[in-house]
Amino acid sequence: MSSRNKHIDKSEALALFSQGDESVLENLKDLHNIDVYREMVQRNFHLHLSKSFGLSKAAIQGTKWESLVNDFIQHGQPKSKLFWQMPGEFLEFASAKIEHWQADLMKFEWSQVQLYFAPDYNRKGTKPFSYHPSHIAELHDEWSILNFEYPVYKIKWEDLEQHKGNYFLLQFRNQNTFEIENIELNIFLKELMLNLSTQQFNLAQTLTETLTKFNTSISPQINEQYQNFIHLLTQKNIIVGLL
Amino acid sequence: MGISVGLGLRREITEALLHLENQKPAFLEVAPENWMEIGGYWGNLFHQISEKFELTAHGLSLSIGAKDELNIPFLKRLKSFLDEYSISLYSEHLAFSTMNNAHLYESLPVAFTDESVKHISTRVKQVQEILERKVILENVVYYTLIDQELSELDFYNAVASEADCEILLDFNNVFVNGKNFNYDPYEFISKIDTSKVSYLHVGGHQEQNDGLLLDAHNNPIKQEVLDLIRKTKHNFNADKLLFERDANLDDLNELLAEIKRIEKSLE
Repeated sequence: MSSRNKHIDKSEALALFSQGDESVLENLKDLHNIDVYREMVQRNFHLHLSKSFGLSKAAIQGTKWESLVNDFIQHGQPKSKLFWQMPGEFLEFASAKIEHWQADLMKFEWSQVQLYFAPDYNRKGTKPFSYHPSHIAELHDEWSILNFEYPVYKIKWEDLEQHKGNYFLLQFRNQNTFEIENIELNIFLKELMLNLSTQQFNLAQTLTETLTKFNTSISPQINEQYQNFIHLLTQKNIIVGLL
Repeated sequence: MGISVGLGLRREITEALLHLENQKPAFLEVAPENWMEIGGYWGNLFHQISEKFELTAHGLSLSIGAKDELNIPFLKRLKSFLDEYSISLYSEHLAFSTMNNAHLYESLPVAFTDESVKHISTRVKQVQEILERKVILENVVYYTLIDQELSELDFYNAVASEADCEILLDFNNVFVNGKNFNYDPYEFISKIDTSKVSYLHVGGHQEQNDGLLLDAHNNPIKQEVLDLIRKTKHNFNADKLLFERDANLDDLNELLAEIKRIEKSLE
């Protein structure tokens, strides 16, 4: 028996064994049915992670996926009290151990789960949205911006290597259907969205702040992008009104 | 006072429950960890459920038997959830589900020892103080005995007494443990401190090839377990009995028929 195992009691040994640590078997030699616990623990993790990462599991495939999950159960130390949040910890654990595009795919899937269950936004203002440069837009918070190295949300996996780059995706929960939707952003719109969401600047200041960041000034093309984006955010109810 | 029968809320049956008019379960039991702090589609449905049904709570991640420190911020969040939905009845498993604060998301057995009684009782008192509610601890199914200075029965009675908490008696678990560890479930029930039993559970079990009974919650309740309810129901003052089903949830009518079977055993 190792020196570590000399200091653990039977319940600790059963927990470790259930997580996949076979070195504690000697501590458990007079206990029956210990495999039942290991099977229950392992099955819960495998089932739930397969549901949360259906695409990623298919992308990572077979034994690699199985061993990632087993490794996580044994060494990942998940702390989430809410079981549905555990896959977020698996994502952190697994990201460094898989291909970058696979990590992007996992991030894409997990963000959808998080947004799907995210608490509802409580409106601060009462006025409906209307455009004026001095107005401050109110956005709900059921969205996130994801940064990808590979555009896993639009390109077939086998072609991703040719598309390595810097991609931004606005992922949000539709306020009527509760489904998750995506809008691809360029880097300008990504900054614009972040500035809008601070809800510190009025619409004119938001645009100015964003232009300053890129060391540029307004042009007809930029103005068109800006107007279209504000319109889209309104149409999608991401802008919910005015503060 | 009669015993009313409730059903465990699972996502698969949530919509169907909302459409029920007659023959509703008397109450629904929710796992707080599956419903707290969520919005969107499921948050919306849960809110509707809370308006239509009385709710009780059965926790999953308290890990009352663990050596880890209690997670106080989580307990405060849990209290907010229970308060928000006016849930007075909160139960948990007398087991542990964490080690070094890492979750196993499964109930593992605690040792039936005096030291365990002291350790768990201290923690239960702390939890009751934070939640401002009695904690009701369930007699869980166990498949192995860790350490046994006390019988299972004496262990439960000692924890309930020392912690001044209550007991959730699961009829199926008494039956399964009785079969697996060769004791008489009727004797167990006759000797449990019934003044402490404030909530009841029942579910289905299945038998493995080697004869071990598993608390599977995936099939109809065995007649022998219903007989156990029928013959011992007068021992209890509890007024709620929960039917647990975790799998094979496609047909709500089948679950309602199971509730009818339980109600018949309570007549």
